[in-house]
Amino acid sequence: MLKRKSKFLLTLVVLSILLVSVNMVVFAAEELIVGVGGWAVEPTKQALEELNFTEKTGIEVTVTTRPGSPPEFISQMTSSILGGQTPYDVIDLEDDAAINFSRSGWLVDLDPIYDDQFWDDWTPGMLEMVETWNRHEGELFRIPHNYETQYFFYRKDILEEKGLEVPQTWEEMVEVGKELTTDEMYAVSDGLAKGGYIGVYVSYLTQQAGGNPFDFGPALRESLQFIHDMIYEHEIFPSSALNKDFDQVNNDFVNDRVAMMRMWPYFFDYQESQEDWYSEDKVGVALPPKGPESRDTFVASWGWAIPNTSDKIDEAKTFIEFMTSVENAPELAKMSTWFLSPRHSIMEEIDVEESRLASNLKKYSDAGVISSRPFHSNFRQASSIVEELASAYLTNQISLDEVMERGKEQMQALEE
Amino acid sequence: MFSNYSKLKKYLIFAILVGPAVLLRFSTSFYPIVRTIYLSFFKHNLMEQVHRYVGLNNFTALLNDQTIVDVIGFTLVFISVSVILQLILGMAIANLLNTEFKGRKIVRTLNLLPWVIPVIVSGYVFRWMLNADYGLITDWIFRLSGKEVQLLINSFYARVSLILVNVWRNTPFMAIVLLAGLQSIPDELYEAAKIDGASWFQRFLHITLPASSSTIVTLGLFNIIWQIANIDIILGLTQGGPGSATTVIAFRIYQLGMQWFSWGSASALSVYLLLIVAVISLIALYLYRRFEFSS
Repeated sequence: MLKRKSKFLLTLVVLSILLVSVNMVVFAAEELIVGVGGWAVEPTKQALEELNFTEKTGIEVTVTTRPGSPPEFISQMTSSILGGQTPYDVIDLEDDAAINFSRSGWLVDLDPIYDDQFWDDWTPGMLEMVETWNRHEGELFRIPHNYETQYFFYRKDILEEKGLEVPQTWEEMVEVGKELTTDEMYAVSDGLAKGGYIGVYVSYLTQQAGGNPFDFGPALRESLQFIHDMIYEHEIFPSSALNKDFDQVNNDFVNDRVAMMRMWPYFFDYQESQEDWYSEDKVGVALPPKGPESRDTFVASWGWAIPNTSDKIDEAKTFIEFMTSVENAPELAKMSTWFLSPRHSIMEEIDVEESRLASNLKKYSDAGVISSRPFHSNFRQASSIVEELASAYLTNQISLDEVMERGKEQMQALEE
Repeated sequence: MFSNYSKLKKYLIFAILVGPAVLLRFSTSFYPIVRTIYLSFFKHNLMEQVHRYVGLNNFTALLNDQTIVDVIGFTLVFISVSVILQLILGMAIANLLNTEFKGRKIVRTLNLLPWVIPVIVSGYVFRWMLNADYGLITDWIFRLSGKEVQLLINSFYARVSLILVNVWRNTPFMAIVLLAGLQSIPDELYEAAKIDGASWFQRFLHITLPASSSTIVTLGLFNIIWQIANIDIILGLTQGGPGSATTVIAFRIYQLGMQWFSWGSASALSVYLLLIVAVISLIALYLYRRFEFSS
């Protein structure tokens, strides 16, 4: 027999559990959960507040952080979706997670949201990206809200001081690089660690050499040889970069250890946040040095998607329509570069001269150097194959011939 | 009738008592193993929504992949060197901690510190300490030798670094278990040996080592099995690189299964690993019985 005190405590515990459960159900039932990367939480909240989303639609939104690392995020979503649940009603998805989820049939078709007129706002380059990276079997599974181009940054002050011109080709980069490299500073660098870093630089150069890294063809060979030569023959690229991510390389740049590098657009904000270091005369942005075939730089993007296990699909569609409409897109881009893309409505309304990122995006777009990211339907595993073999070659574990041979075999096994 | 009822009751109680344990083992061990073996004969990719019977293709494809062969090779090196070093250093530390000195209790507690730090944290901390540009350890090496070494970029140094960090992390636990074994050896044996004029080394060789043999064998074999499943230190320290230089089988299974969702290939590699563990376990059982009886 339970004593009276124990009975009271037990009742209290049961009631508390019930209350918490009811709260959770009510909370879950009323609010639209939007999962974005940690860096995008505040811009998204600000956008919703300033554009009065809830007043206009009657939908309450909770903006929450989703795991930033793709493997962690994909694992979280896989277990949820297979269990018929989802932690988010709307997700801000990067390229590789989007490709994975779309092939699994886990994302809602967004085409019904938009009419044909909506797409007139998009540039041909953006439409090409939408077709390759955001459609599967005719359905639009993600709608991009930005256009993350990689830029070529250089130390304007140092080049001027040494009387050097910004390199226009790979060969010139090596020549200029030899002049720039000192005991304190390397001419060129990039994040070459495994795990989503080295693959970006290798793909970037392979595209400039006229190919797709996943083919394991001559273009990949040429790009790997070029990086290897920069590190070991010309010694203008630090071998320590082989274990660095983008943040570490950015840090090197603002600590005067690197003179030129390719980087994603978030580096604009990063360098400007180094108030003691940054000045407009210090950092320049030029078009990428031309490789054997082109001076292209590929674009990545983040975009909105709805998991088909969400129980608020209609509200989620309203959210996405609101965030991507021709009226709101320019307002969002003015608030944060996270929502910046070369959509006509945005470029017309935004003051390009006021924003370094916007002006450089326009410069790159006008020069026609922005192209689609090299695609593979099993992007994640294919990228890992490229990364692992490139890393093995650049750390002198295997020859270039072995890279090509093993790469072709592994890609063939992946296709079977 | 009465007897039948009594028997039935007995069986019912037996079923109630044993049932949960059997159910637990069935759902957490038997079913996953059978399911893994079943999946190893299929191309089963969660992301591509593919489930196709491919016979032994997953097994042959793995063995035809030079990277996997290298991974298996390094796994054997990683496990054997780690276990041997952990046992040798563990025994040395256990002997030190078994001697009488002031502050022994504090030293015994301090000894356990590396082991209580979460493995993934140790991995990340050493990743910074071994960093070519900012690392504390690389800086020490530079100050001592004047050479700039890139410990996590050179494949040989990366492997050595991984093994040493792993040894640093696990040795304290080995030491504590071995210490428990040492404490059970009667002091009279040492005293008698001393009277007979045996040196420290002779006492160690003829008393300590034989008396600890069953602990060493048991610990060594368990440690081998633990090391086989060791991926978190790799995840934190090297991510399996440079290239695949520090990738072990368990880490590759994690990549295949949890990063690339290629569950067919991951299952086939798991079956290979299962066979390796099974062989080691059989050897373990044999040695355990042998040393248990002899000691």
